[in-house]
Amino acid sequence: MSTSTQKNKKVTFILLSCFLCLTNIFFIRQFFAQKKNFNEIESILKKQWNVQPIEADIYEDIFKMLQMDRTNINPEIVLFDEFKKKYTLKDKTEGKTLIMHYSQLNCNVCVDSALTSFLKYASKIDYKNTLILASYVNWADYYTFKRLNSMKIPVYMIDSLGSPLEEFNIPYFFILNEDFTVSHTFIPHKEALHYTDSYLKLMEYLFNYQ
Amino acid sequence: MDTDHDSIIIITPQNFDRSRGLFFSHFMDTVWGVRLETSAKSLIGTIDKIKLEENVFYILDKYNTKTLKCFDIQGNYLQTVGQVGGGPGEYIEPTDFYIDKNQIIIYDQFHSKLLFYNKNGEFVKEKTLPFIFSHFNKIQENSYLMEAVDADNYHLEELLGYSLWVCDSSFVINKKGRYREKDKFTRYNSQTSLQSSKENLFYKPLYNDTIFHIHTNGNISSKYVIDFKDKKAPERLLLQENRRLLQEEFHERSSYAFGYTYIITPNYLYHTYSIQRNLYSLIHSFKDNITLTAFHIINDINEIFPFQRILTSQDNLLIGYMDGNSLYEQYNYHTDEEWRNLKGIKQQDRSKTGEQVIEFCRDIQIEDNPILIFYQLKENINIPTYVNIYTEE
Repeated sequence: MSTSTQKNKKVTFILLSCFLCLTNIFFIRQFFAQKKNFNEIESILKKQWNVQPIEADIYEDIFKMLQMDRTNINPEIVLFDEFKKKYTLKDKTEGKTLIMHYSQLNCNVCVDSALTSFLKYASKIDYKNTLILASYVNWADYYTFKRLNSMKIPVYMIDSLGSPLEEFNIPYFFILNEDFTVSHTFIPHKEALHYTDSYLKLMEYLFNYQ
Repeated sequence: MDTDHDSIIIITPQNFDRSRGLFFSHFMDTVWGVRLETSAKSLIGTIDKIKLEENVFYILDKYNTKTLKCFDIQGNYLQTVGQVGGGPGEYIEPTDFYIDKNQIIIYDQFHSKLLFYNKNGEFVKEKTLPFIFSHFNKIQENSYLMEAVDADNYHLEELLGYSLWVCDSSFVINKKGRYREKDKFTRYNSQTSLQSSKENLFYKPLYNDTIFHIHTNGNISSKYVIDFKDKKAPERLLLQENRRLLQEEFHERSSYAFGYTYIITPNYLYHTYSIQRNLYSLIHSFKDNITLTAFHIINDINEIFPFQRILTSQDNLLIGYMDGNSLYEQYNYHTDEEWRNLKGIKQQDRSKTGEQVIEFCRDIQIEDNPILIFYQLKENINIPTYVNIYTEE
């Protein structure tokens, strides 16, 4: 191998390394800037504008919801029904679908209150346009939950949706569009159920009249 | 607490080989189930404690529905004792209960109080306690025994670090025992640490190899020792500083045996322990002085009920439970035709076995309430031949 080719390779390697370093620094800065923004907004809302803690949480959630909107969900994600029968997400969604996602690890009261509201509106929207996806550590807990809540509509067990909201350990609603993009994400709060009701009323309108 | 001297019975488990199993028929006469009614009022999440008194099952669900529910011997729902709330006769965390001659006593750990109801479930009175604990038992008319793991009663320095104490009905502490230096050891709570059999009360801390007898005067004595010999886990593993090591030993590499739950009947001791996350069962007959241990215990009586989750006993009857969904799956594993043809692993003539299972499970739903299982132990057992379940590679 000639010396010039070796030199070229070295230069390419150094340039590539520099590029990767700079990209990393850029993303790390972006991340901290965003985090700082969140913290600043939270502090402004709570301290300077004297916003109640729950309202501050709701404002903060807007940024989380924005992170989720326009993301793509893998249509091949595996779901299991109560009989442990395997499906993919695309098998269970016919066009636009309103989805509730929760995990066994979410706070029980948050899940219960969100689910009560969801079930109330799911019947008005049409069950075939709604879906409940849940993550459980084991099947026994899944059945216990279904039994105690007298759930008559299917709850599909899922390992992970791969959504950015999963790390926040909260139940949430969203619309899964025909092209498996996410829109209209909403994080319900047990302390502010009227917001959840308003959101679901909007969804009812969206599904029935648009 | 003073120490009385009982004759100590040493029980030595022999079989630690996963591949050598037992059949139910080696030590059981029969096994049957009772389906607890599934209706809006009778729903149960998980079962934490069962008591059978005068043909009534008292079932405590501490975490899901947080209720004490009563069922008759056929599994029909009778009543719920008290309810969750902040009013009179209501509780937040029903943690334990005791069935007396004429009353039901529920311990609410959240409010640290005892609530008294009559047998019809009507609220009578409540008493606020000056301390918190995990389990309790009445040892005499005016005397209670309380159990907690290194009691967290920081406001009562005299109680700090003690796991057992005896108090009178006005909750003045008379005796205390089982001291462990506070925050030095890892703490694990056991559902079955206190067990009563006939008139006797027993106590066994989790992971300990000794079962203590608690006398009606509050004195304590060692009664049974499970001698795991070289498999006995060293006590240093329970030190908080060795918590990580304990987890590693427990889950991955250890061949130590860790003792769990136990039940004592007039003729038998039932005990579970784990080795490398495998749960073994030990059955010791006091009468025949025979100890059986196995990882696999196969139901060759009616094939459907597993040997698991045993929480209490009545004479020589062990009482446990299984989830409705497990029974549903077990039943649907075979078709009705296959159930009818099932003759049992030992190929004995059990032609009615399948019919009985079909009859019992016919309309079982996946979300049904748990099923109580009763294991009637034999009067006498012989030394069985262990069966080869499979050969481990």
